Amino acid sequence: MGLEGWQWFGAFGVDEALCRDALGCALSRGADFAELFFEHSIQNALGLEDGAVNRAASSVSLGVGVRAVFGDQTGYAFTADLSRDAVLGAARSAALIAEGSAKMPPLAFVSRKLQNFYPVDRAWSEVPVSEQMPLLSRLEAVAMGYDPRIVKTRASFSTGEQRVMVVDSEGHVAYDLRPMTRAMVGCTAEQGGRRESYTANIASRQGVAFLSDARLVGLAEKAAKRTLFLFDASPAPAGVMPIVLGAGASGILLHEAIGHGMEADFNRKGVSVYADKMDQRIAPPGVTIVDDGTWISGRGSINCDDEGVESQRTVLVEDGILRSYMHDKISARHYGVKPTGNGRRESFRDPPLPRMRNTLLLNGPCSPEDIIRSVDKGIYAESFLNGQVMIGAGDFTFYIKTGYMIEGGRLTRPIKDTNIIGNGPEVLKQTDMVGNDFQFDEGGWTCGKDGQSVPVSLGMPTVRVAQMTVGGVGGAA
Amino acid sequence: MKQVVDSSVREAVEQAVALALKHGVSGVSASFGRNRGISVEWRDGRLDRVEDSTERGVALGLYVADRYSGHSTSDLRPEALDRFVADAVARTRLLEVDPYRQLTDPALYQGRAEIDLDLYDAAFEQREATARREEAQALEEAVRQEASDLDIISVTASVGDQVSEGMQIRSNGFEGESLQTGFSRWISMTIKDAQGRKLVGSDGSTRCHLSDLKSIGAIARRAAERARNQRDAVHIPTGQYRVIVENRVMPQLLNPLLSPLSGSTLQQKHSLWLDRVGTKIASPLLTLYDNPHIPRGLGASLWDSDGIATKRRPLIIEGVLQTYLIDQYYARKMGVQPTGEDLGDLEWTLGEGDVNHLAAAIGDGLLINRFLGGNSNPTTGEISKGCAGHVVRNGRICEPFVEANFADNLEHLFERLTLLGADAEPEGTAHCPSCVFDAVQVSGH
Repeated sequence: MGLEGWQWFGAFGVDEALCRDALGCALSRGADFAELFFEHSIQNALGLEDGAVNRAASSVSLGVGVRAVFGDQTGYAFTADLSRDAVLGAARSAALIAEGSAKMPPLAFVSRKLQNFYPVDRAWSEVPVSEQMPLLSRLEAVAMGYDPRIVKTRASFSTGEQRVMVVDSEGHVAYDLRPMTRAMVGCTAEQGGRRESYTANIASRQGVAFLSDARLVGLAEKAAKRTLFLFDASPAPAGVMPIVLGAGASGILLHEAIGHGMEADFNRKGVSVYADKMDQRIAPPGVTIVDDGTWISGRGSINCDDEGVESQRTVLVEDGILRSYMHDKISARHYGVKPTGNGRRESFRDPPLPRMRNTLLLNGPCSPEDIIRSVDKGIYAESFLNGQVMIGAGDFTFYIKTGYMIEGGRLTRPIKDTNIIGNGPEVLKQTDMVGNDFQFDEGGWTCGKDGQSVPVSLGMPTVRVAQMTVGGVGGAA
Repeated sequence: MKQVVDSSVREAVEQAVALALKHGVSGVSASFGRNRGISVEWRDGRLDRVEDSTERGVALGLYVADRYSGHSTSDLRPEALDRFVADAVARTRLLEVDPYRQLTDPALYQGRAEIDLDLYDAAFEQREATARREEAQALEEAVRQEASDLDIISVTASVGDQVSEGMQIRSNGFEGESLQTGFSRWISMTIKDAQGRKLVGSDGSTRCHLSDLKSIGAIARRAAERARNQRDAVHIPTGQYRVIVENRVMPQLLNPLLSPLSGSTLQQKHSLWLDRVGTKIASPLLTLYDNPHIPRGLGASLWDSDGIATKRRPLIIEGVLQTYLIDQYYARKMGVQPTGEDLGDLEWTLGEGDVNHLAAAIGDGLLINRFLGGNSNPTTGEISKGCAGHVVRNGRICEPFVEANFADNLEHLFERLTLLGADAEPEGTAHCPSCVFDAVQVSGH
């Protein structure tokens, strides 16, 4: 069912009068602003192990979070009980942040007109389980059939629909219905008494159409192929060397090295390494980075953020110059700019924070072949597991699951399980070749901050970083 | 002290069981839980955030004709819950048969220890509304006093309390109630050093009882010391080092060592510890017990997630692996007895002294007191993580280093465990002492 067909207030068992009263409570001690974030999320999962689709799970999350904002101070309360008493009680708790005279709630609410960046032809709720199960069997058949060395395959997919309704004290109501489909295949292989395993996953804000046969085959083959790849691979050598980041998933570099430091809450508190760098050069010309909430069906896309602000494509770095942070309403007011639609939260249990959506490095002029050819001895990073950053110092890491050595301008020995560490501003300065082969990554990335997880995505072309520290084994490179 | 949960909790679980049985399940595991939490954040001289939460939810494990599925919901409106359970049962019927999916053998519920784990502190209800705010303010003031010599950019202090009560019923005879409080204090300060680097020093404490929390003064001293000690860091050359891993960050090496002991990783053949029970997997210095019966322990519980009665048990004795961690489902699949997947609080055979003592013992090497990112391969044991800490020279802890990487193989790494401290970390559940590993590959600049 689409946005228009869902009876939002009724589905939550509340009405406009209750919302008005709750906002009145939240404003009763003088808060500047208040909002109600209603959420109803359904997630379903199916799993295959040892040849049978024999596990299922589901979860429903229903509740409301009430926020009262007083200057840059936040009062927040949530309840899973949507009775009038419980909602008003939460609003009164949130109100305690403020100290002043009561303000009046709006008399009426106006719906925000939003674009839909994730059209769904057929939702999972319309698909019986009997029709879903063969998708997992297909994944298993392709993976097991790929090579006799594959001895175990696990597969699963999960589908979700998050309905949110944001009602604020400025009289706006925003509705968003956010689909999600995620599929995973894990393989274990044996060869000569050794074992290796690898897990691949994909995710998108789509419905049934996302798991096309071509995509399922591609996912299963990728998992099987990379599992076998690991038999020939070994950890990279240790030391400082040039890194070539392959197109697509290498966007984790952007996310860790640059993205978190450009979330405006860290900057308004002065603790980010980018806090005093606005309109300054932080990267070589040719480096343009955007955080795009409008990418069609992107895992990190949103029609509106969790403050009800419409989504947008935000240019963070333009041709090497820092142009914008990612803002929620509090930071936007602090900086005197418009919010950028980055106020996101994991669920009604959490207050919104500036968060990334789909963080992308745009194309440059170089061919990927020329970039690899330019490196005499270094690392080519192909697939990744995770990353982390220290916001203040800017030091960050990302973990390479598979890649290659580059020797004499050619890809040579396979490498695996190697962590890379660098400093965000330094790495940006050393990003000296940007490819022309941009790829949006379909991986199921999830970003953690302040105990909250939100879905994100990333993308970039092939890039060369002149030097980074490789956490390998053996002597120096 | 409260001994049992409120009667409304039992009613909610019994209703969930009845609903599942009404819709035709052959067995059900149902639990209901609710949680109340209050937290306060104080930043740079004023209140920054206050949070108040009220949470509740039902979780169900449904067994229907040799099929199984798991479900949870916070939508407890009667019609919605009935529809939710009906849909869940219908979905379960469509799954393929899995003969290993059965409720736990009731014999394993027996023998539950009769210990008061003392996990509830009435201080949660007795605290004045303003106490948390005052405590957070006091934390900030204390750390600013401790760090008066530092160039402070920002300080955030947080204080939070919560109470959780719940009950689980399994339709073949298990009942378990839980009532637990949690209290926490945390401080994080950002300073600037002479090179302009922004450095974070933090410390905190989380306990079941308010009176067990680390004192405000101790937290403030530690946070200030951590920020101060990172100033003017250097890069180190790539090489092999004797490495002290500080107690607080040791769980980041211990967890990857223990997680491949789980039934799912073993049965799915992606564990490096396959067929290794009874064999040496670490240095003889490593002796580790799992004890879920330590009163007030954050890992304390009289039963595990399968309802199996817990007991103290050896995990590793003098480097020899004593047991896997296999839940009842994977035990059936593997044709072995379940050993229980959950870990409580860990007990170590300790060595001597703290990091200063260990530094004196190793002479030259590194002290790692922060890991950053990284990961490990549970199938092969390879591990690679970003790290930072201090250079150890002539038996003394010297200048800080940053931007380095630690890489090894877990099996070989723990074989090279050569010294342990006596400084078991009181926070958390792993309670690691600081540990010394020989010949670790660290890459730097």
